[in-house]
Order: sequence, then C-alpha cells, then structure tokens
Amino acid sequence: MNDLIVETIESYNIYLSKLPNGCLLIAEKLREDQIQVALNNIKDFTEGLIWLVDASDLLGKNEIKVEISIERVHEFLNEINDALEIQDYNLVADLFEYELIEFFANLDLIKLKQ
Amino acid sequence: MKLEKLVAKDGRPTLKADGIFIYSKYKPIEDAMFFIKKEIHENVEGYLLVGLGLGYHLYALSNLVSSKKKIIVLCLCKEEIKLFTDSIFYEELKKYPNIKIVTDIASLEIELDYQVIIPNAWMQVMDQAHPLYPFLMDIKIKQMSYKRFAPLMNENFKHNTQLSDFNLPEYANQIKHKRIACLVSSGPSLNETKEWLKPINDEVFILSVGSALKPLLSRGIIPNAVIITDSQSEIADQLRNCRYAGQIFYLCTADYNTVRNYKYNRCILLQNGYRPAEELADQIDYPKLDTGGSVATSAFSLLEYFKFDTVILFGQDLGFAGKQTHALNSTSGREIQKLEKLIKVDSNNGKSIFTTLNLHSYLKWFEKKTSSSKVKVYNTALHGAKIGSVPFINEMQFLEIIYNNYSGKQ
Repeated sequence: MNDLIVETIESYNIYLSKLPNGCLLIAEKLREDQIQVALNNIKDFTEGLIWLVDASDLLGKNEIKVEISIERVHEFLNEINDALEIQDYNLVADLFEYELIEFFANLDLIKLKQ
Repeated sequence: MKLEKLVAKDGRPTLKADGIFIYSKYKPIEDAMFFIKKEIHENVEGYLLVGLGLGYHLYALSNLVSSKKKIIVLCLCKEEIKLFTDSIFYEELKKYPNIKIVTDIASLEIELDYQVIIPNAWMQVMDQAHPLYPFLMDIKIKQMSYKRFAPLMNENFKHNTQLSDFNLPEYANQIKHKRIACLVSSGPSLNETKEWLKPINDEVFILSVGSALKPLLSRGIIPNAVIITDSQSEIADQLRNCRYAGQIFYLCTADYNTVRNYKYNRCILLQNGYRPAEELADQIDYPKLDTGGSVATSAFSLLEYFKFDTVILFGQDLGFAGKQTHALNSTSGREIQKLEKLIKVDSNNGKSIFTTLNLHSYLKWFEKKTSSSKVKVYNTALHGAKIGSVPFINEMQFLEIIYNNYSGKQ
C-alpha cells in the first residue's frame, strides 16, 4: 500500500470521526438562532463531505473497501439544500442532529491492515 | 399565516407556519426548552415572548424564570389562541397570573427592562405588514449580531481601553469653527458623488467610514477623519496599504489589532447599549454615543456630538436598484443573494428600490434621528433610499450650500 493511500485513509478516518461533533455543533448553532455562524459551518461541512466522497471513490478504485453510501450522502445534501432554500432552519438542525450524526457515527473507519 | 399542526417523530404535536417548522420535527418540546435556556437573561423585570403557537416556548420560559416576573406573549395571528387552548400545556399555563397573552398590539404593555425573546422561525413567517414587524426585526437582527460577536467585542474592549485614546472632548474643541460636515459612506452612489468633494476638500469637514477611505483616496480626496467600528479583523484592509495618516475614531469594541497597528492620531468612542462602555464612560466622565448598529449611524452620532450645523450624506444609499451593495474600490461590498429577504422602500428618484433587513434597520434609525436632530441633513444618493424628510440635493445644490456657508450667508 503506497504512502499516498495510507495518508488518504488516515485523513479519511480522522475527518469521519470528527463529523458527528461537527454536525452537533451546527444543529446547536441553528437552534440558538446563530444562523450566520451555522451557515458558515455548513459550507465547511459540505466541502469536507465532498472530499470524503471523492476520497472514498478513489480508495475504492484502489481496491480499498469503503462503507460510505454515496447515494445516501446525496440524499442528505439534497434534503439540507431544500430546507435551506426555504430557510427552515429548525428542519436543517433536525437533519444534522437526528439523521446525520447517526449516519456518520455508524460508519466504520477504514482498517489500515487491508 | 397558515398554521399546520403535525405529529413529531417523538409522538408529540409540532407546528409548521407557512411551511416552516416553528418547533423541531423530531423533539419539539426539548427544542423549545433548549432555545429558551440559551436565550434568557435573568436580571430583567419581565419578558416579551413573540409567538404563542403550541405554547412550548412559553412553557419553557415559565419553568425557567421566577413566577414574580411578568411574561407577555404576543400572538402573531388569532388562530394561535385556538391552537394553544388545545395544547398539552394549556391547563397548566392558564393558572399562572404572571402570564398575559395579547393578540392586539393596543393592549401590549411592556417595560423598558423587559427582555424581548423572538424565536427566529416566528420572525421568518411574521407578516411584514404587521405594525411591529420593523421594530421586532430590528431587535432580532441586533440580538443575533451581539450573540455572534460578543466575545470578540469584549476582547477588543479590554485591549482598546488600555490604549488611553480618550481625547474626544479635546478633538471636539479643535474643530468647533467648522459648520458643515460630509459623512461619506460607501454605497454605490459614491462612485459618482465623490467627484463633488474634490474641489471643496478644504472647505468642509469630511468624515469617512473605513470602507469609503480607499475610494476617496483613489480620487485624491483626503478626509479629515475616518471612523471604524467593526469588531472583526477584516477591517484591517480598510487602513492597510494606503497613504492615510490622519485622524481615526474607533469604537471601543472595534478590532484591536487594526487599532493598535494604526500609528497616527486615534480617538476612542464609547457607545450606549454596551454595558462595559457605558460604565467606563460614567466612571471617567467621557461622552457616550448612540451607534445605531452600523459605522455610518455611529458616524452621524459623532457629527451630532461635534455640533455641526449641517451634515451632507454621501454614499448613504441604504438600498440598491442593481445587485451591488457598495461602491467600486470599497473594501466592503457584495452581491445580493437570491435567498435574502428584501424590503421595498421609496427612493430619492421617486421610484422604489430594494433594501436588506440590515440596511432597513439603519434606514429607520436615520429617519428617527434626522426627524428629531437639530442638524440640517441632506442626501446625495439619487438612487438610494429616501430617508424620511431628508431632502435630496444634486451637485449644484451641494455647491450652493458650501458657497452660502463660505460667504457667511445661511
């Protein structure tokens, strides 16, 4: 396994393990009406998630098994986007707190022994 | 307003208004409690809670505060009363003598030291034609802004007040012979009107907001002073890499590093509405200014303090016909995003333009201030928002005002 793949796996695992707390922070900021802060965090979250999806795709092409369901990620992003479009921040907070946290918390980290 | 009662994921009733969830779709009662817990201040005499709905915010509030404190609930539509009487908390809450629910603003009585609590979802669905809408929106915007920036403001205040730049009264004495001030903001009209200032640069007192400095300098116009108020570090761009070495005024909560790095004449401003500044001002007998929430409104308060007879507003558009919010070369400025709530206002050109919630708040501040101020105010933003009865003046009229002052006529 080359160094680049190892680094990518390490970054993937680190980012994945931070996501549940990140989602909780976004939900809390929305519920406190700290909308602008939450929107900035959502922007960062979205960019990170796109990286995660790209990384999992590349790792898959290098025969590294990655559990994340890209279809499910797209569904979440679409739901969040729809709620943001109508500025339903309570719903966005719900999605982060009650859907996304559970989704990411249930994903296994990639084992480096592969 | 269309209210829709639904069943949440936890089996409790929840509520949508005009398609937006007022409470959580999953755990509505816990969500309301979380919000109120984070929001309430204890050292107030009472509370004005906006929005009744299913009574969840009211229930949370009544459980978290002393029963001696008055709670006034403002319903935004009469249908909320029916919803509330069907609520699981109705029987309990109706017994509390300190709770009053009002549907008619004529029966709304609150004290100055009541905390106003406005869950953002109610603000979003509130009818913009409601007489209280602009006031509540103004309060909500300022609350959200303060919540976001309070730690930064406190840090800046701590450091700025150690710089010992408390020389406002002395500065006021130095300029008391000047009668006309030009308050230069960086709205789109400044692109054209800044040319008016060049020939009369020395005849008037020019106070520029930080974001208008570079547009002025690009035309060789040197302001007498610059004012900065923002607590964020981005304002450093306003003073960086430009050949300005004149006076700056800064709010005590402005970005400390920007202030500290400015090596020329500085003067600190203490504002009303920020308790540490109020206490310090009283302690050292220093003037306090109303800020109005923006650098331009702060600048106007400063010019009022200096007792100018006349203030002419430049770049004070407070609205836009196009999509750009600020002048070219300004360090501020952005494109209006399609999701932003826009309000239609009258323009000086006789048509209507749009403004954002923030700018609308400042517009209302200017209207109120200029209607009661002794200062004669004029506006040069032809395509900007009309500020109450502040007259618009073109270039000829502007030069006439300057000439009349210079030759001693009024």
